Amino acid sequence: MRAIPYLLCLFFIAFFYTNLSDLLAIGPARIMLVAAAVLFVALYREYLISLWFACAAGFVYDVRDPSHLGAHMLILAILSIATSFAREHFNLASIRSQIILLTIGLILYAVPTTLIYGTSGVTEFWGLLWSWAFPSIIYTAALSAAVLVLFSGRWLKFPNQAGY
Amino acid sequence: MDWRISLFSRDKRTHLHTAIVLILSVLFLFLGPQFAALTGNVFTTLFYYPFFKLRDKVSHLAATAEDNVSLRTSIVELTTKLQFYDEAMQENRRLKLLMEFVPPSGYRVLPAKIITVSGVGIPNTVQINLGSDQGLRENFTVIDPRGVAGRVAQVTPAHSMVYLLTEPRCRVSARVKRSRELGIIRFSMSRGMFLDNVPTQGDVRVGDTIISSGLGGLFPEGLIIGTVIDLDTPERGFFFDISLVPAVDFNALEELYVLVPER
Repeated sequence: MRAIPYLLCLFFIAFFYTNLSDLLAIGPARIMLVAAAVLFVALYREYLISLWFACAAGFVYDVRDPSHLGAHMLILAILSIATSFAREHFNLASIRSQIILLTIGLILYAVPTTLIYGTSGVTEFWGLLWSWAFPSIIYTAALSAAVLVLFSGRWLKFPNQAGY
Repeated sequence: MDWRISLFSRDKRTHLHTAIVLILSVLFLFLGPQFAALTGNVFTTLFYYPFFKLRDKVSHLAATAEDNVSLRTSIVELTTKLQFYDEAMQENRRLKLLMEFVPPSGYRVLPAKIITVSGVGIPNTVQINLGSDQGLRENFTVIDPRGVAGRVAQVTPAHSMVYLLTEPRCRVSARVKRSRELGIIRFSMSRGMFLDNVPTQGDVRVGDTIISSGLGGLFPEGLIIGTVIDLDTPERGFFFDISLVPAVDFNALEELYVLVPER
């Protein structure tokens, strides 16, 4: 029963990338929902849950493009581990620090993702980073910050220097 | 280092899970393209296909909505066109009737548009868009393609007022087309149109066509006025009570034509 919300979340990720991603894009900036979801779960839930959720979310994301199957799983799993680690070792009780962590997490997600897709050379990598990754990081970070500000303390209860 | 201790001080279960996830990810990454394609197919069907279908349906609905708007616009356009063509067809029919109408010799026909219609119960006066500037004078005969409509009563430079046959002041000297019996066309609200002053010895029958006689000089001879629909011989009196149905439908007047004498 505990898995149902996460399963629904995975279906929502699939729904989002099928129907909403293009609709909500502002120019080249797109919402990195899968990364944001993994970061939120890693921030607010236990280590093992966030780890498996990251793996599953990465898998759901990857099946859209099977040629990169496993890539997002790995990136998001590492991101989840890193976020859990940061949560344990830094004081993230304030919303500001959580927003900073989310933004860093998005950057850490965007750079290897750009590496996966911009494979033809350094120029393409930088071009993609500049044209897609940066606007998307800013867009997603702004939305995540808004979610944090609006729902922190109500739905999103930050655990005490959480154990896992 | 403190964080290293923390990272590696987790229990075995946690390490095991972390290892499984990482190995699984790497395994997927390095599996052959055939396996990746198969996995992709299976899980795309599970996770994405319902949403693809939903998107297709939504876009189909959106396209249908657009089609509906465009079809509704087309319907309005076509209905308007149809009404226009219908009107043109009716006008065509009227004009054909007029073409069949041969004006009396010495007259030419001047088409006029009705500007206003007045009268209680039945129209008895109309205003037309021709006046003295177009050569109209008082008492010129006004016709409709079906018969006599009335006469010009007042003329201004640009407009004229026409007394229709339904106006009590508009009387026409008439005769029965078949028997040449003479009479006077009159109209009253109670009796409608009737032919007066036909002696009871005269030869009149129901269904006879009544035409203008040309006497009196106002209306040219031979124009159709109406048809006898009822005939009564009063016990006392010298004249028939002859009711007529006018050839012109005064409730549905559209174009009128003025007979202008040629000089």
